[in-house]
Amino acid sequence: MAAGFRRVFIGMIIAFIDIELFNLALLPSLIAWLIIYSGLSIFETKGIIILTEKIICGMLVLLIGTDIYLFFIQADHYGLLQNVILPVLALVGQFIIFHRLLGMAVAYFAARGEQDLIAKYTRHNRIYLIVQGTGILLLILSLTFNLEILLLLSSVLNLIAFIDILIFTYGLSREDYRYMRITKN
Amino acid sequence: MDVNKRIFRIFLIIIGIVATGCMIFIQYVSLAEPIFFKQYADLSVNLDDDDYQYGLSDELFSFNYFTNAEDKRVVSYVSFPEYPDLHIQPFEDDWGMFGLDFETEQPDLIGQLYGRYSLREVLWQIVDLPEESLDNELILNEAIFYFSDGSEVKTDIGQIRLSRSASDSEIIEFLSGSSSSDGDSRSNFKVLKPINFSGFEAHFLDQISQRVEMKINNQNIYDLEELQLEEGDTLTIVSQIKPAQTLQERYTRFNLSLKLIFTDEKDQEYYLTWKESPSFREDFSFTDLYKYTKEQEGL
Repeated sequence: MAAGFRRVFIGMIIAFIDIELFNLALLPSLIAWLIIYSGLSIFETKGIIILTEKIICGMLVLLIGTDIYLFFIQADHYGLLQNVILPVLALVGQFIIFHRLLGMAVAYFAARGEQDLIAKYTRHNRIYLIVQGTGILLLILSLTFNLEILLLLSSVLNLIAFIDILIFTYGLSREDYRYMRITKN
Repeated sequence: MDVNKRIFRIFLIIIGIVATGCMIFIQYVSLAEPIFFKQYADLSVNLDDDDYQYGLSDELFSFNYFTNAEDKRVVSYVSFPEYPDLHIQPFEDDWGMFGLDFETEQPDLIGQLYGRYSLREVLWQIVDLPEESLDNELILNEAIFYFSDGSEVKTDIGQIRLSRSASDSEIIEFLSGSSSSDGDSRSNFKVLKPINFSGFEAHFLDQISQRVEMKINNQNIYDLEELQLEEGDTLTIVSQIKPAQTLQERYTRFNLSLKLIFTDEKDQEYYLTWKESPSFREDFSFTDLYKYTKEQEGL
């Protein structure tokens, strides 16, 4: 499981990095999602059933479809899709994926009877849901009404949610080692 | 965990409802095409200057319009159906309205944002105008704006009058002038010989009289029939912008161009052209712009 979460962690770091060279994204979000997807594949090969994979497949199709649409249609004329719909869809997808990943981790620790980890990641999940959910709502309202203060608030909340994801995916990528050390001792 | 599932579902439902409501709202207030503000301007072209084709003798002129916030088109060319020989070069950039360096709330968007709308400014210069075209005054009422994506909008622009710049009689000497950011202005002239103010001519008098209070030596110009001036007297012209009563008035731009008529004791006529472009610093808001679109539809 640790290897899977490590890839999810690396995928999220890449998703955060936005480097452009001559208007060409060097690390597009598509690559980040492919890495996250490969991390989830590891869970599946280990027999952990996850619905999240289907959601990530949907997001990959959405991102590829958007890139093709923007490339051929030159949709910068009226960028409602680009400026409003896609950022919200990406965050909603992220909201669903990480809620499910945390749920999966809790189920995994429940199977091993680790009560302290169940409590820890249940709490993480709750904080994530509230912060990210509120951030998405504020983002929708700020993009609709172009209100700077709401955009600032939603950016802060989404950043906190993102940091929370990094913290718990990194933590989860270390839990297997900890478990192995405990069982060896 | 059940609590988390409940929180998750509640957020998903609220996000779904809010997103759907916002999309309906966006579609409802979206503009089918950009809306240009009407303007009434009397501009002079200085033909004595060899470089006249590169600009008007008045200040650089501009059109203002608003469109959907995410509209990334810019005006790339403007033509006038009434005068196909008049070619102008528009300049539209994302530097904001009225030449001020506004920062947009979202870096991908152009112009000054007001809710779902973006306010833009297009500066223009004459690049080609056959000299003989100005033998008579050019009156522009309609324009076709061509956008960077190939689309075009034909619209009523109010009225722009282009004429040769004429030199004034040398009976009055300009002394000083000032203007404030709220559109008020004051000009002082020195009278060089005894003259009598006998009236004035102005285009767009209806628009001007509704919005501007003008005084000559503290007397309302609209009521003034006669004013005796002696050599060495100071002639002071003051203009003050009045609050607009309707949205149509508020968002209509104009410049003041008065031809003041003076006569001497031999009934010889002299003219003084007085021009002023009041600052267009109206308060914009999304609701007012939306009401303006509805009023435009009703006209």
